[in-house]
Amino acid sequence: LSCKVLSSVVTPCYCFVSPQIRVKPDNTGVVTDGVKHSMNPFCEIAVEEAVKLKEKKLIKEVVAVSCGPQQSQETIRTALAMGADRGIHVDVSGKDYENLGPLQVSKILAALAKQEDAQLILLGKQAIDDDCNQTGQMTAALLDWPQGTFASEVSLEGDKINLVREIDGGLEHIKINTPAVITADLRLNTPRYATLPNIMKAKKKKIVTVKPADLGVDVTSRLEVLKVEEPPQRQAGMKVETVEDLVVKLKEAGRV
Amino acid sequence: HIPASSCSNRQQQVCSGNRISELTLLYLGREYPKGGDYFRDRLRAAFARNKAVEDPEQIKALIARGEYVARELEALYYLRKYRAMKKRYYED
Repeated sequence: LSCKVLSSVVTPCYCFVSPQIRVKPDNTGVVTDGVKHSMNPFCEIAVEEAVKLKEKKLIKEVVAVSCGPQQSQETIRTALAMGADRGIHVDVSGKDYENLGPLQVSKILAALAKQEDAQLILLGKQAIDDDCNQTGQMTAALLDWPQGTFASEVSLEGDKINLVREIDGGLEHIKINTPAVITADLRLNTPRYATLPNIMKAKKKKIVTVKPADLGVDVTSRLEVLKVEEPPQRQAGMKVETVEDLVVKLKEAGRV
Repeated sequence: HIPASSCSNRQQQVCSGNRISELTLLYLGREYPKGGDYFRDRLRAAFARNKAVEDPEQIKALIARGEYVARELEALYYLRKYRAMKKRYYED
């Protein structure tokens, strides 16, 4: 498969070891100021897989894409340090960025895939800030490409892809045609760390900035967030001394 | 950190090697669980302690230890992230 891979590192999302996430006082969302953003863990796995394929000489080039404000470029730099060849930063900021969701990102990725003549799009299965798990699937639908989601194993066979998917019932083996969209699950690989020497070398690699309008994509959201609330406080549990007490309490609560 | 100007030619190579190791570790240590500052202070102290070492074999061994620490840090970070994702998204 001599092809180009678009590896989407879409969201600079919340760092998973972030301090307590707080809901904004007006309940319109979550506080993002001062919260450390980094590459989505599942997207790291996707980038790693793309770089691995390139190292095996199965693909020609890895392009890292991120949609967001200026800071997204840092995430792209990390991808470049991991081995991607070049980056595309789709500049979306302010209100547009707050409302950016899977549908808009999918449209952007689909447009880029056509523009770059990509044969493979690799993304994380979901972003850990919104947990939508939709972008990969929507992108495949917009492009009318086959999709292999929750991939825990990927191998190329001629112009087809063998995939193992992690599903509720176990593991599913499928074979799909290219071009295709693959979303990475946790056990696909172990992402390499972007070391300082590699980050220095990656500074020579190019990042191009484009706007969604350049790609003919309208990022207006079709969704309106009505309210964001914290989950209810956990009720204190009750301790009982004996099994009989437990049964009495359960009966009182109407559970038995 | 020995300034390059005060090193002999061979020592200069070693000096820059040391500096690269120190910077690499400093960069890696930013996300250390006990804090980037804690790590940085301990790192600087460790490099300062061994500043006067001249024996090339010893230097090689120290650099190797630095590389070992770097690999340990990478493993630490990976496991931390993996376990967080596993706990959050997968029922076992």
